[in-house]
Amino acid sequence: MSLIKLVIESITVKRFTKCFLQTALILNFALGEVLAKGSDDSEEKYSYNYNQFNVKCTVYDPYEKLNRKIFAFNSVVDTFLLRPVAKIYGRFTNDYTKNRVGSFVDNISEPLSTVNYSLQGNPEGILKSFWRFAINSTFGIAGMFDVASKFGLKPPQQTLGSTLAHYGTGPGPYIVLPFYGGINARDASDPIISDILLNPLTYSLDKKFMLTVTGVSIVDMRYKLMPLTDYVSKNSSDPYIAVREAIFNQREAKIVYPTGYKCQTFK
Amino acid sequence: MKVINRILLCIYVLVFNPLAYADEEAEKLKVYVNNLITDGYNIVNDASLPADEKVKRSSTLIRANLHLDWMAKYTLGRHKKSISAAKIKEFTEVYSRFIVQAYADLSKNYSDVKAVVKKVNKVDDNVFLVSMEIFKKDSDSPVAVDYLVHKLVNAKQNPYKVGDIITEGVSILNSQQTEFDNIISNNGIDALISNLKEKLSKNN
Repeated sequence: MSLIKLVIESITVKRFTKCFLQTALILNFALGEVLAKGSDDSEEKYSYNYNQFNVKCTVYDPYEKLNRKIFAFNSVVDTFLLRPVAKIYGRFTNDYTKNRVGSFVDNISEPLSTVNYSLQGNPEGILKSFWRFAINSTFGIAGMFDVASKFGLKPPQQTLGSTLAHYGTGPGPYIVLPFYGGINARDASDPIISDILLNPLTYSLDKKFMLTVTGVSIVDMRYKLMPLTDYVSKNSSDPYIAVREAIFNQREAKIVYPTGYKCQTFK
Repeated sequence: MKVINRILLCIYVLVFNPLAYADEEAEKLKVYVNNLITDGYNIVNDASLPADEKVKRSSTLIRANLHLDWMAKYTLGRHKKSISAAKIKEFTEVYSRFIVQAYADLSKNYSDVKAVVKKVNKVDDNVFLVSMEIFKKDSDSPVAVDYLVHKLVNAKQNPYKVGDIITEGVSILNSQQTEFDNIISNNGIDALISNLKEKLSKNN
């Protein structure tokens, strides 16, 4: 007992701090070593799923057999119609023109984002997309130049599918539509109905003009996808799966689910 | 006062120095990725090099910087456990040649690009996700590209290797894993190896 008392008495504040400093340095060194070395190279340590890491869903494809048939049909249409047109577009326009076309097409769909931000009750999104459209349509010469991005006005583009996801709707089954291509069930109405009906410009611009814009945007999009589709057709062992994964994951990357949302898993 | 100062110093050393280490690691990764992209850019844009030489140099750069062994094993996914070590070795060899050739071919599309590294996230011990934006010439809208980078503990020279490239949310590795899973489930590992060999000879 007296020994303990002696020890306690002998510990002065100076000794205590010295001891603490030494411990701290040793622990720090050890922590540094742990951080520096971390784990070994075992593959389990490196296993990861990019979608899960970003709290995104994985693909659910219950209609794969039918989807594959429609995919084969679409591939024929693409090979003989869309791809050659996109190639001609790429050959006869320079990068500058292509980028102006891309910006113009993006700008036309900006009011659709404003409407969807309103449906999501997102005032920041509403203001940003509204001003983006206003600035690009005026200072950006009808949207051909993206001036608004330089002011930080670049909210992610929204569709009805994004709004449904915002309220917790999962992607649902993956389906392939004739002539259009792959899409998940939640977003299926976007290209055909909601992108047109919810865009205020549909009601104010000439129908022929809007049709032309839609046509140009399809060709422009196809041209932009050329490196990916060429890569897939050259290197993929199963082009259907490669395209499905690319479409699904690219869409998921743009989706924001509500906090705490858990994706439904299917077997 | 002196005592308090010492205690504060101890706390600082204990708590903040590992964070400084993490920042240092992030900086090293940024430098590594920037150098890698610059090297690739220089090869693709070197007008004095013939096309074959560009592909050859790109392939060397890709081979040196991709974590090919890990990638090959990763793409086998759940089948890895049921495949013999010899077959995994054979697959790894063919896969490595296939992926180097595919990436070298793909890199031809990326002349006139500028990459800006935005942030580095730690995914796991010695695993990082380097996020960047790739700007094409005259384009206002960048493409979001992430590199999954592994830090190898026992590496003698360059400790970093790229394990996956994720473009606009599309992970090449995860897509390949799904593709390969389908082939192995239906036709076995040998079918996958011959499929890759066939593609290699066709693209050569």
